[in-house]
Amino acid sequence: MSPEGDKDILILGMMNGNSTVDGSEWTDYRDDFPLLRRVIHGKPVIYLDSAATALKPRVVIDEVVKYYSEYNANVHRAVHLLSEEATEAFEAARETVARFVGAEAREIAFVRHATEALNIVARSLPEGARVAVADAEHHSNLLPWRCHEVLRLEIGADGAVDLARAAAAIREARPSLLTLSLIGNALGTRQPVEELTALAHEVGASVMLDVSQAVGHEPLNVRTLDCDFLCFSGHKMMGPGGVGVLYVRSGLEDSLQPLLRGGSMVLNVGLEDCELQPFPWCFEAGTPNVEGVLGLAAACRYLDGIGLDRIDAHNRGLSCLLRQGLRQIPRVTIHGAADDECSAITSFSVSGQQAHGVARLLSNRHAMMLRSGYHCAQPLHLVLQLPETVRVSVHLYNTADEIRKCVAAVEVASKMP
Amino acid sequence: MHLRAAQDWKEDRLRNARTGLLGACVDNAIRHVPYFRELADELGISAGSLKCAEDLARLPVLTKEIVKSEFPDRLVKEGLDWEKLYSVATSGTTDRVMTFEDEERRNWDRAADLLIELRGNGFRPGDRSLSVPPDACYEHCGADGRMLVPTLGETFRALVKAPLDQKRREARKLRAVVMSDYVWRSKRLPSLGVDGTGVADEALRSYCEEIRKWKPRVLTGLPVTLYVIALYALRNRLEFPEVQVVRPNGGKFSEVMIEVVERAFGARVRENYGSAELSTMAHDCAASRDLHLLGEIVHLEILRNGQPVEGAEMGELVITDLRNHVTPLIRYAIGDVGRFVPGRCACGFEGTRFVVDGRLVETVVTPDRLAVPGTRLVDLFLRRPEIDHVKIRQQSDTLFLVEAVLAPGIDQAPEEAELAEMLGELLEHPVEVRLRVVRRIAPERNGKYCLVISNSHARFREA
Repeated sequence: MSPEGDKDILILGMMNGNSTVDGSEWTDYRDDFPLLRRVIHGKPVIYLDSAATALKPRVVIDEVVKYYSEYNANVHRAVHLLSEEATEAFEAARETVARFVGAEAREIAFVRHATEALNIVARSLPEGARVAVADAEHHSNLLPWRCHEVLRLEIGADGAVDLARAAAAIREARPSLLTLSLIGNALGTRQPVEELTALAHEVGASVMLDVSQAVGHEPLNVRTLDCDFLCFSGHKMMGPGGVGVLYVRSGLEDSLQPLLRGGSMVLNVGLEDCELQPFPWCFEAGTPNVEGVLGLAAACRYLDGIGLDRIDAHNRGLSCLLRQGLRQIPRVTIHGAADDECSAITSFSVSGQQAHGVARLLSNRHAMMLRSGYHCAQPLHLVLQLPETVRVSVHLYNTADEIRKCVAAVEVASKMP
Repeated sequence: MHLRAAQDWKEDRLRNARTGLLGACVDNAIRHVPYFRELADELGISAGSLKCAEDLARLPVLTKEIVKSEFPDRLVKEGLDWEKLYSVATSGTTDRVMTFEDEERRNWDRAADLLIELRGNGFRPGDRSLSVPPDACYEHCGADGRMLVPTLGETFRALVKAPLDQKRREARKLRAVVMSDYVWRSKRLPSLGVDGTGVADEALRSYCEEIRKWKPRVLTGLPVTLYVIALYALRNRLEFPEVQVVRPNGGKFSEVMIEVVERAFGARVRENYGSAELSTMAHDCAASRDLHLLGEIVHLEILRNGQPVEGAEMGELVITDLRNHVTPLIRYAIGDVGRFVPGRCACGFEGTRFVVDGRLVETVVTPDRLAVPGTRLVDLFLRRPEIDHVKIRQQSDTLFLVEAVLAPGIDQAPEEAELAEMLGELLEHPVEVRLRVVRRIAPERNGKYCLVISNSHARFREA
């Protein structure tokens, strides 16, 4: 089954203005991603799991290889030439990444992933602190806070925080911190961050944002978001694995405690005491993931070069097309936000079919990679009484043709006895 | 009745019947199934051109990879209403093969099961059975693998409440519950879980108590699971007088495991051969543990290097399902190795007899092309009194990494050199063994156990 072409154009026109997801410039970008050349059982890979991790463009891979090949050395230590080059590149990467989210370099610490960043903030809060957490969150933004008093923010059927209830709860409980994902990984729902941030600040709470599912998809600016802490994982925005970012608003550095202690994060070490480096270096104990950081900066440059507004429109256009197609399949239920508020993530279930079964079938038969299960957000599924879902998440390398193939494949799967 | 009678047919009659069924099976596939139609076009084979079982070799072997990549739309007969079919999937979640069956094929499955239970195991409807199936999916976020078994009342209520278009599905569930709870009176216990062979004594005690309480006539389970329980029962002198038959599923017992299990349960190990996608294909008899092929349901070839084996040579089992016209599995490489057993069985059976030696991926093939099934390697170690459980990983032709769980009270592991000499004798060339003592052997992702990981099994298919 394939949605009618005219409707496609209408939807894509709505989402993209002058650009369509079928435009040749988008198919040209596919050449930047070596993995898309892979053919499995005679079929080219269709990668629809970017919310789990995005594909890496050639420029990122080259950057990592270049570091290993040309100036592999430890940073912030030696005085030899290679180390100086590596250190210079590392700190330049910090500048690049900071610019990418509208921050200053001195506000950016490199960590392993968003999970580590969230844990740093959680461990820095005083014992017994009250933290407001939405039920929709990924486990990584739920479990670290459970050592404190958790104020649960209830969500509606679309997975978005219920603003009225949240306002009442926050005003009454007056948490010391609100933590939230800009876009939920399970359903792709965008949270009302602006309103919730204002509410939190009204009662004197800090705001921590996890933007892992938004970064690389749309323009982000820490000043506009008005957050105090922000984090994301590099691999979700086409950077290498094992590198993440923690933004700390200037002036709040002293409110945090390093999770790890060791080499490189200290100025002086005495027999019993030590003097820590200033932020951000005091949060980068041990040898950092230098190649990861350099690759991440390359990803920032790559995405900036294409234009995040355009990527956002492209991705949401594809999601819209997908939703339109899925909606025509009787046994399919789409979960999450309405079409006009959709993100690059679409979750659905097929009545009578296990999510893993659908995903496996699409992988086996069509070399189509998409995610199934609870997406590390079990409380959300419990609260909304949702089954395991199948999740399609797109990025700039996906095309309308792939989406049509996906819809057709899901329709076949939906007819399975 | 037909199936039961067919097991007593003379060889000529069996051959004629098989040729007719094979022809019908291939014709159906060529006419109605896109994958086979295109394949036949490529090879210049037309419907009706198959004259004898040997002609089947004109079609290539159907691998699991092909089935997975072509299923469903290109491997299912065109023009059928899928709603009226059954879906069948192999266990496990990561490497699953799926097929569809119609009611007729399902009836052959039921008949085969019935034949084996009644004739082979002496089972009477209403007798109790107990199974410990593998746990699957536990490694996946969101699927805990526990099987939710509804009661008769719940199933009946669901049938009554179901909208018209779902009545058929609910009726099937009701039928399954009636069969499972009242005809076979089966009970299921949870798997050993991620602890595998290292499951606590307390848990093993409760398995034994459940078996003693339920008093099953037939006990089924993964070979490793039953072996773990058997070892515990023997060491604690527990007895299970009601158990008459122990039957492995989802794997093959090694000879040592059979000895231990038969001693522990005071019952005979009876072997059937089947798989989820092909259902029951063969059974043993009271006179022999060799498998008797259900030739009315499947056709068996055994290949080595793509060619039929000679005599009792070991080869890869390639099966053709003669009764599934919905998802034809023709020359399907099921992933096991085995051998034909020549001659007539003492029970009078004149059809195809064979033994399954184990899984192809567990078979070690030496540079001289000597193929040794994984169960023989396992037995080599299990015969050592110091070792309770073992897992062998072939690193190269001459290096084997062995994980061993020592028996209770043993604190001195066997010498590596001694083990290497033993293994070298079996493989007929010198090898090195590196031994690591572990607390447990864990199951694989699909809940089953893979006790030998061979890195040389691909040689089996090489010319």
